[in-house]
Amino acid sequence: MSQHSSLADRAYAELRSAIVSRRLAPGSALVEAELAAMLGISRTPVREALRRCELEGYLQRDANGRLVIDLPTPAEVARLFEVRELVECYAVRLAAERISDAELEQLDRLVAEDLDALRARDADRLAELNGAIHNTLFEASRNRTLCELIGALQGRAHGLEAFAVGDSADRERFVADHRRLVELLRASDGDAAVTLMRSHLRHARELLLTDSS
Amino acid sequence: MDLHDRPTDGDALPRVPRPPDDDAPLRRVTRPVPLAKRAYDAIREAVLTGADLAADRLTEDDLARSLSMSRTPVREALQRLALAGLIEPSPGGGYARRRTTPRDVREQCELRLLLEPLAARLAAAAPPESREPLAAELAGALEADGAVGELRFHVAIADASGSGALAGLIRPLNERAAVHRAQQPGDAQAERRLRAGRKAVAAAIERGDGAAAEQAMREHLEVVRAVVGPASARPAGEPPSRRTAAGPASRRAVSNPASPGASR
Repeated sequence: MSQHSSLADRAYAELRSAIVSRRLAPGSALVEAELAAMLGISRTPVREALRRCELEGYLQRDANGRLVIDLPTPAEVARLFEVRELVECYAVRLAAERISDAELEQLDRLVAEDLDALRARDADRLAELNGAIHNTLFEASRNRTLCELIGALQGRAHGLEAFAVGDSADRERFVADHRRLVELLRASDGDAAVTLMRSHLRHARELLLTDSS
Repeated sequence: MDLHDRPTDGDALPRVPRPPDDDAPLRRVTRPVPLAKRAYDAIREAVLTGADLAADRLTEDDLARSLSMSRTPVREALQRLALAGLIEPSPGGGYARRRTTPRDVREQCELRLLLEPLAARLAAAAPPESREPLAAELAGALEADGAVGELRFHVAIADASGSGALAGLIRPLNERAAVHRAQQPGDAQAERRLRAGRKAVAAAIERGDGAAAEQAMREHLEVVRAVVGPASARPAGEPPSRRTAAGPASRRAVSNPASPGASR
C-alpha cells in the first residue's frame, strides 16, 4: 500500500471514529480544508476519506452541497435496536433448528477470522465479519422472505457499528459472543441462543447510546 | 406511493377516492409526476387491486399502449416491481403477479405477527397531534375494500410508528400479502371479520392505549393468518430440517439458502 493511500485510510478511520463517537457533532458541516488542518495532512487524502464516509452513509450532501454529518438520534438508535432484537432473536430461534452443517462450518471460519481481526485490532474487518455472521444467521432461519427484506434494516444501521465505538474489551466480548452463539446453534439450543443474542444486541445498543449522550 | 396519492389519469385503472380537501381558497399545486413514477404507481395499483390491466400477463407493449406512454418508463417500472417482489418474470415473456406459495404466506404471517404489534404500540404512543392525521388515514382505509384497505391500514400504522426500520420491513410485507389476496376469491364473511379487527386496532390507537393496540393488532393478524392460508402442521415447501435429514445428499439440498436481497 502506498504512503498516500495509507494516509487516506488513517484519515478515514479517524474521521469515522469522530463521527460515530459524536466528537464531531451530528448535523455539522465538514469542510475539507479545516479537516486537513486538524488532521495535519494535505487535502487530497481528506477528500478521499470524506468520499468514503459519504458512500457509507455517514455524510449527506445538504441543499447547498455541503457534506453534513448524518447520524441517527439516540431515539432512532433505541428504536432500531428494538426491531433488531425482535428480528434477530426470531431468526436465531429458527436457525437453531434449521441450520445446515455447511452453514455451521462457514460460521466456524468467520469466527476464526473474527479472532484474527481482533488480534490485529482491525475494526473495519471486525465490522465486516460481524455483518457476514449476522447474515448467515438470517439465511439459516430459512425464512426466505426475511432474507429478501432484511436489507431495509441494514441500510440505516450502517452508521451504527458498535465496533467503531467500543474499546478492546467490548470487541473481545462481541467476538466471544459470536463464538458461543455458534456452539449453541451446533447444540440446537434455541433458548440459550436467543438469550445470548438478546444480551449481545443490548450490549451494542448500550454502547452506542452511552456514547451518544 | 400512497394509494390515494397518484395521478388521476389512466381510465383503465380503478380510482381510489382522494380524501376530501379542506375548504382552502387555493388548491395545492402539484408537481408534474415523472413518467416512470406514473407507470410504477399505475401498474403497482393494478397488481394490488386485481384490476384488468394486471389480470393476465404484464408486457411492455400492452402497458405502454394502455398507459399512453413509451416503453422505457414501463420497463423501468416493471423492473422495480419485480425487485420489490410484487411481480415475477412469466415463462411466456413479460411478467405476471408473483405467485405466492403456502410457504411465502406462512413466512409473511410470522413476520407480520412479529413486527406489527410493536408498530401498533408505538403508533398509539405517539403524541396526540400526530395521532390525528393517522386517525383520519385509518378511517379512510377502513372505508376501502379488500386487499387495498388492508394494505393502506397497515402501512399507515407502520409509518406512524416513527421507526424507519420497522416501516421498511412492514410495508413490503404488506404489499406482498396484498398481491396474494388480490388473487384470492372474495369472501364477504372473512372481509367482515378483518374489518372488525381493523376497527379494534384503530380504536385502541385513537385512545392512545399502547398495550391494547398491540394486543388488538396481534388478534387481527391471527385472523389474517386464518383467512389467507390454512395453518397446516407441515406446510408444502417446508425445507428439510437438519434433524430429519442429515445425509450428504440432503445437506447439499439445504445448503442453498436464499441470499439476502435476491429477488426471484
